[in-house]
Amino acid sequence: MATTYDWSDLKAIPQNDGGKPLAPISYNAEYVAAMNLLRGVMAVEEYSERALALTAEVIEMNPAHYTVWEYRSRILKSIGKDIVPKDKRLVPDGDEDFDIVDFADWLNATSLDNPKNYQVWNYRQLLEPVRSDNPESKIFYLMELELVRDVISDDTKNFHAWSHLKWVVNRVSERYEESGGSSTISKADSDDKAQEKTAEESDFTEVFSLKGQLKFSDLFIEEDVYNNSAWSYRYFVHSQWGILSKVELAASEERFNEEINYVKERIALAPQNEAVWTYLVGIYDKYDHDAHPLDELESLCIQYAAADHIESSHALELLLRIYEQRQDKAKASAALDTLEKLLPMRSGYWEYKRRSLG
Amino acid sequence: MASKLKAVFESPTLIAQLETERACRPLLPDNDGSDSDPELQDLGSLLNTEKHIKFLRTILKGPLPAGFRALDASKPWLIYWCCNALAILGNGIDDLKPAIVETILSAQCKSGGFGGGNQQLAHLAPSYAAINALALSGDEEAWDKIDRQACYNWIMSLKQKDGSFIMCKGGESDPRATYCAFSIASMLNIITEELVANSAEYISSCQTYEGGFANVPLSEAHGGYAFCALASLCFLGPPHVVLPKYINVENAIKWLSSRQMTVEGGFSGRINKLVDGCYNLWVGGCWGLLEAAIVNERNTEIPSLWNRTALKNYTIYCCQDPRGGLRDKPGKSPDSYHTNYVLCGLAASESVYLYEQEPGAPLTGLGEYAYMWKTLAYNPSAPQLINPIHPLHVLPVGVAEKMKAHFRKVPI
Repeated sequence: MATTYDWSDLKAIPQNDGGKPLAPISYNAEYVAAMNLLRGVMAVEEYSERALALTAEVIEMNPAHYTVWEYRSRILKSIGKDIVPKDKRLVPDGDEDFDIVDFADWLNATSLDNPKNYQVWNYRQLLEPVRSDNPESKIFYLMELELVRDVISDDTKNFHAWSHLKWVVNRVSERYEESGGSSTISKADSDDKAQEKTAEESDFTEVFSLKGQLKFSDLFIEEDVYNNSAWSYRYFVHSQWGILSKVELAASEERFNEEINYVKERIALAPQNEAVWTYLVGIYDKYDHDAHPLDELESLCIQYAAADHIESSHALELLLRIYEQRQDKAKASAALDTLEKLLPMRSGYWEYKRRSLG
Repeated sequence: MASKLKAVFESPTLIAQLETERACRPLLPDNDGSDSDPELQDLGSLLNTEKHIKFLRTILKGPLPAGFRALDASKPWLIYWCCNALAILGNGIDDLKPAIVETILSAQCKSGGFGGGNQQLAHLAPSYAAINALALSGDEEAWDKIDRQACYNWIMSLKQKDGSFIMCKGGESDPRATYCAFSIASMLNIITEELVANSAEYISSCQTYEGGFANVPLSEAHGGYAFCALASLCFLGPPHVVLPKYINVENAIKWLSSRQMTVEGGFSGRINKLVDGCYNLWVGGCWGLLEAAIVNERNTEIPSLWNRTALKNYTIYCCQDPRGGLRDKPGKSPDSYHTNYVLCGLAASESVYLYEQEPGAPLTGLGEYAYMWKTLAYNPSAPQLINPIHPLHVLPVGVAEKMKAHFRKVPI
């Protein structure tokens, strides 16, 4: 608690938002005292243990106070290595390679308490190790992954957590795949020295791979096939290492078919699912059109959108797109008739599509 | 998810969706879902304008309970949300002007820009809200107290190589930041080629396979980022030029159209998420920009790509709290954020936006594109429930224009 420190030497600065501010808040005394001290230490740019304790106190009372987060990062950048014991850091043992070190317990608890807060996620990214060529930096990414898993297990569509995960994977890819060019998993498979690697390192390689991250997305798709965040993540993984990555494009026929089968199985579970159909079209749009043109999905669509038995409006919408591309006006128009009956809420859009047919 | 369609798989998404439909359906009038206006005459009297005004004025007057300290770094937002909502409800805010000016200017930073409150770090989000609030005050003397040169330098200090902006020193970058930066620079008349360099390409990279826009490339499409992305592009040129140039318009329209919920009539912000009144504007506000692009590109009559009646019904029957204020959905408490954006979306549903560059108009360069928009009533013969808003600045029509006119006279 900041209040346990001696502040008698510091000039506290009260808030000054005019004589009669709009929307004044009746802060409690504790918040007022902490904020007055905070303005005081910030004004003299004090980087000290007591200032750090004060930032924690304010963040606990108001985690959206971005100014405090920024100040905390400066304090820790300046003196963090002197005041945060090594065994209490986010990554134990990590030292000179970290620009900013923070208390693991505090930061993780604060993150888990405030998973919808912008600041906490951005702040964690500031704690990334400076250098990549030490084992601690790999532990950092694994721990971030762990935190994301904890948050998403509770709140399966948490936008910030999924986004943070993509950041973690991007950073790992940028740092550890620059020279190799191929995916980490295939590198490890072919590397004779792989056996000599530490358990942590091989764990790292396995986790941050196409296989590892598809498995991660699958965990959440299995739990809820409608979870679009998990599908969006899957698309990202395929862009990073899989069938949508440049590396894979040359020899990915098998993987492509595997993935499309995966999708089809999940369509069968729940045909009226915008997430899965959008994902399917997204994959086709980015993949090699000559090898796999969109209209090879026609029969799949018809399976779920037969004239007398529509199980999925999304299948019908995709069918519409296929007919549009083929310039089959009669069939496109018939699809539009059905969509209009099925989803009159969107009649303006169907009318627009009809006019676009010409 | 239409109930006529097969959706057998029990999932948390589906359960929550069905619960929401169950909560909304009894509140909504019976209709066949088509976009016609049989009950429009009645809707005017069903908007509890007086109660909403009282709700907003109570917040502005304060003091707010201690729990509101969560908004201690969002003071300019509170003021913008409340004052903007009052203005579009037709409640004059002249009496509030001195207090708006005093409170907002107390959040101005010496280094340029505005913080979330007095002596806080400059941040693009509260700066956007602060400039909008000062515009709403109409106080030209106060406008001259904005340090525009410092503001420009500060915004430039947030600019990243990829064309994006970070929200504040050490902060995150996403299309919100671009939108806030452009909106501020547009109204203060400090927008430059340097300030907008590479930004359109950056925004383009945030469009996802879903058709909407994300916070960073390859993330999930989200209604909030969609509005910020499309509006950002529209600061850079006529909609029929910039939108087709930088984004896949058809994918964007498809994704937006799917956001309108088949039972509730309001919008969801992401695929398979629940309806939320704040997307009235974040999704609803995108339509005017895209419709204008289509009108100009194809030289057709004004299309209406979305169901305006259904959005009005969702607003009137599901978003109004009986005690005043508007909310996310039935069962949620109203707040100033939702009150403003629910009402702004209602305004968007009553308007069509035309982008018209008049022949021989002298000012057509960068910084002027935001001021070529004309707002017309979608249904001129029907009573208008609410005052129209500017399609990019999300302020009552005329407010941003007046501030811009003021600063055209004083270049930096």
